[in-house]
Amino acid sequence: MKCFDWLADWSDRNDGELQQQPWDLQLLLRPSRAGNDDQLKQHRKDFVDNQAIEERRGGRVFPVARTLTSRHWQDFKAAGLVSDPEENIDVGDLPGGSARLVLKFRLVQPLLTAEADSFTLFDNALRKDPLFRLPHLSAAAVKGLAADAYQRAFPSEDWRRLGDDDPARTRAFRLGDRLGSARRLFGIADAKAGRDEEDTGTGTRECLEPGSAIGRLQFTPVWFEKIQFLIMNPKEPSTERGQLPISFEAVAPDQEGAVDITYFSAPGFGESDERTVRTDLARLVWALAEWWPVLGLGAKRLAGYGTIVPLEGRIDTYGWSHGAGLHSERRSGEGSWGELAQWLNEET
Amino acid sequence: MSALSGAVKPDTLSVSLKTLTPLYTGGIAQNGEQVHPSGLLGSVRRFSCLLAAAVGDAEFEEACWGKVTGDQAEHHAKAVALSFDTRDLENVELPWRVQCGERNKGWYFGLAQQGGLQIGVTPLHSLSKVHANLLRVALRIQIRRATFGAKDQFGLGVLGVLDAEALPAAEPLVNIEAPLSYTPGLHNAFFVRVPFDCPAPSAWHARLKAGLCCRGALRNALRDPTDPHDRLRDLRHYVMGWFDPHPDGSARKRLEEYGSAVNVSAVYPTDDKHCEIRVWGVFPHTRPPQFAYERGTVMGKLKAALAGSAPALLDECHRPRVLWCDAGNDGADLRTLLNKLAGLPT
Repeated sequence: MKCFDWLADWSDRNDGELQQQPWDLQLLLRPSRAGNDDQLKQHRKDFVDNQAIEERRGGRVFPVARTLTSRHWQDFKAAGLVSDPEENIDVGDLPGGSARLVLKFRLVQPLLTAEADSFTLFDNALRKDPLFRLPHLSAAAVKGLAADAYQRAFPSEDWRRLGDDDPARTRAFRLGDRLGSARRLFGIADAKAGRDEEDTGTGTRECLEPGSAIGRLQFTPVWFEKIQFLIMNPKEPSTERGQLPISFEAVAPDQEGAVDITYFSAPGFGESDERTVRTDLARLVWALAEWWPVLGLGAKRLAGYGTIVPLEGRIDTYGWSHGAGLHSERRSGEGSWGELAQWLNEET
Repeated sequence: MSALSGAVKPDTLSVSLKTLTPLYTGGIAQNGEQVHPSGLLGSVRRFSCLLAAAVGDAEFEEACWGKVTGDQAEHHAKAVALSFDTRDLENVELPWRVQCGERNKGWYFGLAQQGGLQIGVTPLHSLSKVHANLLRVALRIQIRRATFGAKDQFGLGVLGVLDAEALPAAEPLVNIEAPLSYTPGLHNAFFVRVPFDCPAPSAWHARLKAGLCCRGALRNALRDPTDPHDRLRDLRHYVMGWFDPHPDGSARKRLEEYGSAVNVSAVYPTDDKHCEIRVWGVFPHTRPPQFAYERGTVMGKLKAALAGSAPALLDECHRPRVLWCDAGNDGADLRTLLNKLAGLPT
């Protein structure tokens, strides 16, 4: 999302003023000042030379990739918008039987995400929030990655026989999942809903199968503080040399992130006893603990981007059978997520 | 019933490696201050496809590494996930300039990486057992006889395991088909070891210089000083690689630009008292292949040049051996040779 008035204000200012702006504003301003492809390339080069590279002194001086820090990170964090297992987590306002899960990790390799804006300085820009320009993995992406890990950890007999396309297969998988956890955790979408409404003209669904059901998990974005710029130079098979370098924005490695997931129980609506909630969460956390560290997060993760190492896991519950109703369970270290899954599983 | 009964763990093959010569995968500043996953993946992917071509498996590349071109209905993701744990690598400052002989302009280096590296290979459900094994065999050959990352034509990218047991487990190749002729493959590869009976020099300058002088000798083998028209020029540029540092846009010069078919390592220690240089390549190395009819001539010249230059590469060791293995002209059957290269029963 862009503020066009603000961009217009900049249209008659000179490049010297542009150079003085913080890097995140330059990323926004430069594309709007480019009238053609060559000018865009020049802006990209100027940005890389002045912002994305710095000199490091060892025995000699080396140009190296610079890690850029988001200006608003500390304010964002102070406002309680960045999840952290160290923070006080209050789950007392949630429906009885609910839980909040915070899984902290260290990013070992750069993480790539897809920016929704189509006109950016770099062809492959990071997704950033429109106001503070903080890079993040969207809540929808986290849900997709979690559902993917779950499907791999608790697969159906034959994925391809579940349906003709991905929505149909996903629905069939979640409905057929043993113990019903996938349906409760991620919900199901009724692929026929729109057509049924059209057919009857009343919005009443006539199919006997369950329609749409909202999942009990609430996901939040994973925010990051630092970014860097990368370049890939794929080889051209006919010459076996790189021909067309591709530039990327990436979340920089060697920083921490936290996945924050809330499980909303539904007391009074069935399947909401503690055993069911524990089963659902044990399966979810186990899937994430086993599959996310080897598959990574974000885009191009199968190519090795977005590799993570678990650091800490914490679950806060409300209305479970632990004395006063509120309970917090924490584990730390690379095996922490798996230990948390085992703790959840022990009492199911 | 446990909530976790029947849960499936990833079948990850984790390989712990160490750098024998520094690892380099480029970067936006053209320095190697960090390792880039795509640089490592690219070399693993290419090498596995070289093996697949040699065993006549035309489906491997798309089945394993995905398809993102052509008909969109056929696009699919990789059937394998690679992960790279580079936390035990650290920066190493390489010599700025290494020259071999006074007339040579030299080679320039910056930063690279040295230390420990873990590669995780996780086959996903759609990867067949045959293709998963092919990938493992390829990794074994690449670790034992080839290189990783970029600038491996200039000495970098030799990785080793701590002991032979740490190589990825794989089944020997059993049934192989005729090699694919339209794409480069290990059926046209050559692997050379030049072992020295002396410890490796301690300074990177000396280690790199020995490898680069070796490379220089190989390039010179494709020159004919008696030919004023330099008729070997195109072939030389194709075999040893060339790009125009000051492009004038002429079509002829662009046509001559190739990556190197020959990779020559720096000297690396094999134990406290011995060291060696690793040379390997595939000729022809492009798709479509070029100069295939010159393969015998090129191999002969390279072999002679290596035998002639090796004794002068390290001051301390004058009697190195040169151990050639040319898959394109070995005499042994290809399946046996590939298993042997992978260190698997033949």
